[in-house]
Amino acid sequence: MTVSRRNLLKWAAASAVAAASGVRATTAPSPLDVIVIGAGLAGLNAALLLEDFGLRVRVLEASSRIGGRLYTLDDVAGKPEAGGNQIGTAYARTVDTANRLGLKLEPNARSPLLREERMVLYVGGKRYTLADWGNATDNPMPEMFRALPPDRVLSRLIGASPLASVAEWRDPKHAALDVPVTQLLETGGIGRAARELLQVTNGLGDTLAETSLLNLYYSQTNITEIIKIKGPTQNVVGGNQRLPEAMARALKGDVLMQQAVRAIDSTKDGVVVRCEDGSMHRARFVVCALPLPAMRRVAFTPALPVVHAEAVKQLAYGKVTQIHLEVTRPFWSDDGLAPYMWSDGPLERVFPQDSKGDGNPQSVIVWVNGAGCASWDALDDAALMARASAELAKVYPASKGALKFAKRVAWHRNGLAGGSWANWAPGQISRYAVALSVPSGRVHFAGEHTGHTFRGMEAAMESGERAASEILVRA
Amino acid sequence: MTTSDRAVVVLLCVWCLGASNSAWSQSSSAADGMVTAVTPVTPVMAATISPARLQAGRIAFLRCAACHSVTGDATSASVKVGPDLRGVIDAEAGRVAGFGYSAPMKKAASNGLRWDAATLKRWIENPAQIAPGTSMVYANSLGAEQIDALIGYLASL
Repeated sequence: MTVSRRNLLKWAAASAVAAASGVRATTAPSPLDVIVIGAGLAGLNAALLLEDFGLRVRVLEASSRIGGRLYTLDDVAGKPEAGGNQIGTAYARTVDTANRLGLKLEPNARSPLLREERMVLYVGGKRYTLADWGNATDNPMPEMFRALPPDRVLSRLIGASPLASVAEWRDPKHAALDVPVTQLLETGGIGRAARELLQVTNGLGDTLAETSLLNLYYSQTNITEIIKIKGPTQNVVGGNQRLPEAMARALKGDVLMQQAVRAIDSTKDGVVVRCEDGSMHRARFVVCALPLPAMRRVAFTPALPVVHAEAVKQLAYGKVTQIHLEVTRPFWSDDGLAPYMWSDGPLERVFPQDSKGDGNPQSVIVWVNGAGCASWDALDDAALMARASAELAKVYPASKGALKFAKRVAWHRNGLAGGSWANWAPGQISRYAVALSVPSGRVHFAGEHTGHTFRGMEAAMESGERAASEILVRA
Repeated sequence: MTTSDRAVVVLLCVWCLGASNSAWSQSSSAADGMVTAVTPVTPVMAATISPARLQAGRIAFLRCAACHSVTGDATSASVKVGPDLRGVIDAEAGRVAGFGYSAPMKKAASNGLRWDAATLKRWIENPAQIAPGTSMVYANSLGAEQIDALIGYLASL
């Protein structure tokens, strides 16, 4: 498969025009084999692989942007990534697909501002270096973990993962671990002050009570396995969203934009997909590659199996609010305080967006997770910027007037994503992780939440590959 | 912590894990390739495999193709995460020169692991049961017939 052998994409407004103007007239009007719902990595990978085996595929995407949770902010200085950020060397499918489509990958730049010794900790309204924090009387962490940034302590406290391989995370034999991590911390004598710091930027649950110990072990095992494949993490030159865009262009079939699916009706002979605008699409099979919050708006006939339907309604998704601020003056030059912060205050974290790695980021990102998002969600952009500026000035007095609001991205408020990724609250791995990827009639499922051995981008790619493989066996 | 390990840690922090850990950076020892020359194997199954079974094998190989080439080209080891699989059936493990096998796979190879069809089937069902700690990240979703077809396809190359 090469790009040159593939037709150019007909997307966005052009799709309807192209179809109407006879671009497709050279294609035999054979019925569709597969409708893929969702033009993120999962759906697009399924579509590409199905076409490789000669199937006729159409992709339906609800938004006006290709890529789903790969989202390069082309309109913000330095083009930060709002979604899937770094491509691990072990992300074989992601890397291989980029290579096949002629995209260039480059190692992520390492900003001198992101060195641990430059990290600013702002805890209880006081500013510390990491070294100072280790000796601070206010540091409530257990003695052996005091020198670590607070967000690295939780995984140490829970100890080594009992999973023998990452493939075991869905194995019922580990169900006893699928409990709130607080159970372990309470029996381990971790005090309230420490627990409060542990949950500030925990990305696997809004609070520790909503965080599954099994999910933490799964993450730990996942990291242990992927770092066995040596090499740098990478990004796509020009932005990670260029990958799904190239995948969509490489398809022979249509990628129809702004087609929000509202119903999937299966019969023994085929599937009818109905969109909000009244359009209907028929095919032999469907790959539903929607995140579950988006799937909540799709009516399935016949209904999904009980546990699957319950999972669609119940599965927890991560809350993430990013505030992208463009740098008008490199304020860290004034006092040496790097825009790399962890805090128990409302800002939670600050990262420099230093894509060249030269210490001159064009923007910085305020990154808020979980329960902390709520206090920002209520604000309009002007109030959000006023609050962010005031909070930043407490930590970085030199930042006054040095930052300009560029963009807010709140994944949990985006109805087509519903959050950053599946968060697997306590009990949800045991109850839902297997059911979510089981086909229902002629409908197959993909998406990062149906990955079997990875998380994030590679899980999406893996799931699309699995769904394509399932359909090819039947087709 | 190596640069790449740090990068992984940053990756997970940024995608909201917020709980990274230097214990996670314990990694297998560096592996630089080995082991013995490739022994060409006559694909005994090639002559007998039916077109339908071959196609089933090709479809099953979809689950392998991102990590494994089947070109027989030694340089392919540098562009895919896993070693090339042309001629793998009945060959000894760890045979692709220049590929960085994990320590557990090197050990299994030095203990005489050989990819006969039965062993390869067990491997695909669960790599950890043959080489615990292998760097092959895979959770099998192929049925027994699909695995048989896959092995038939690999033997036909």
